[in-house]
Amino acid sequence: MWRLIRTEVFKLRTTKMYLWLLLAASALTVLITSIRIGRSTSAELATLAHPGVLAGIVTNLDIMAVFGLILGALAVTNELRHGTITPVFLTAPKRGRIMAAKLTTYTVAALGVIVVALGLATAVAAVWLSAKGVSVNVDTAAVLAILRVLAVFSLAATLGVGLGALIRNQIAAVVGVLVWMLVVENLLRGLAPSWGRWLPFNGSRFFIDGHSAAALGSSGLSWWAGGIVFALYLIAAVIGGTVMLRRTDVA
Amino acid sequence: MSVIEAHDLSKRFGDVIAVDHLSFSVRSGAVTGFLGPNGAGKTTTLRILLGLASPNGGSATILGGPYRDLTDPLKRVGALLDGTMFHPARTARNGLRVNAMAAGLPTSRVDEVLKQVDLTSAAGRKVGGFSMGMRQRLGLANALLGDPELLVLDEPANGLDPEGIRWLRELLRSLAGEGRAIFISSHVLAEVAQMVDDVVIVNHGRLLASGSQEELINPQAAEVIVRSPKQVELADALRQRGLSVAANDGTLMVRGASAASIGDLAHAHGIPLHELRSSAPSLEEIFFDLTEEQGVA
Repeated sequence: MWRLIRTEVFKLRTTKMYLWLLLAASALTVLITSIRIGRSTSAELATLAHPGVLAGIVTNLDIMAVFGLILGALAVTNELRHGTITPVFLTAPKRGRIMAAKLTTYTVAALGVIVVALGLATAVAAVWLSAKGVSVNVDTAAVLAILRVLAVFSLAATLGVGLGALIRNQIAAVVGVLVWMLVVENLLRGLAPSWGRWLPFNGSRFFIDGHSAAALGSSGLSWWAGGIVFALYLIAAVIGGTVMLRRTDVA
Repeated sequence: MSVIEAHDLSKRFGDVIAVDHLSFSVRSGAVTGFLGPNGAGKTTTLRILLGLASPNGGSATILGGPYRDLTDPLKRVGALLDGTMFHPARTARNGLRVNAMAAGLPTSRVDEVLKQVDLTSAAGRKVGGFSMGMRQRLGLANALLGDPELLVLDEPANGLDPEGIRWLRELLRSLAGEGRAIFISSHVLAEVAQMVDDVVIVNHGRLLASGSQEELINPQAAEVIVRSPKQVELADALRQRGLSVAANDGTLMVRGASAASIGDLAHAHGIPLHELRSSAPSLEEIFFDLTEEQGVA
């Protein structure tokens, strides 16, 4: 098993895909942070000293999970697209172990992406804000929000690995998850909030928001319920993807 | 002992039957040709043998069990299959390292097999820029990574120029000389006829013939070539005996009788013979006869 994980890491290191994804996610996070700081008035920036404000900003990063999702979706679809799945199956004919190695590797790899991206954004913000003399209140709520963003980002990769194995076609998988996450879920949430909240990335949004049930009406979820919704989709995708990978005929 | 056993294998893709109740075995220590025209079901059969595809019926064992039950399969079976097996953006060496690492083989094996297929100088180049011939060599290197006792090669001569085919033949001959069993598929019989001990011939997913080359070259199927100044009379006499006769460029090709009985018959009719010899069919002729009987060239 360790052998297969090492191999997956080696594969990520020997093509540029992971590097590009890391750069894209970092650039976007830094850009969003910079725009946010650049367009804020000093009065707005001053609110960063208040408790809960930073947490509110961090929760807006929930959309970053799309990078984790795409990274994961490439895990299996890349092998299918390039035919490299054949030697993979020849080397490890027990396919469940390949899936396990990919799930582990890509979850950790995604964590690496978000840690680097958030780290860079934090560094940029820290330098910029301290130059402006703005003090930031990094309270428990903010730390929790950051941890939840990290968790959702890496687990989105886990979900992506499952979805990729299920969908199999790379373009369909990548375009599909983009459209689903950025368009379909947002539309459904707007049109029918009472059941739109049961969708996977609305679940993860509520999880990151970190509200307790009391704060929400009939269109919301508490953070833990949101987390469970997301986790159920994740488990379904991983099981579905594993079953599909085991059944797939490589032609 | 058999290294490969296919028992009543069937595989369909939608309405298309790719493999149709196919049974055969491949013995150890021999080079076995897996022959048939394009689309005969060879690749599908190999993929089933290697656990890459599941059959709809029947079973296949390799080295005594299903491929999926082999521990460290790369150390037992080396396979070269159709199509790309390497990521275009990876170098040849890294592409091989991926598989060596997953199989628990040392990186030194990668350099050894690269040398074995004369790709050492191209080891640092990306596979995406490789010619067909280089890809085939790389695929062979990959098959040799684990120093396996059995090689399964799907159309290894594809994309090779005549010089490359000669190189392949020499490589395979030396590998067979080391006692490895080789199961090699081809639709071009001439490529493998000189090097195979046994053959398995298929078409439309069904077994047409299998056995050693000598067994298949049946003396009963031999043709007798006769030349006579009284060709027409001779042909009539032979046909009256119910023999199949074909005229070709001043000679007659007769099937179903020995040279001796044809000579006796000519003598009885007072027909002089200027040539009388029997010609055993080549493997190639057998192959074409078998595949044409099925209505596909």
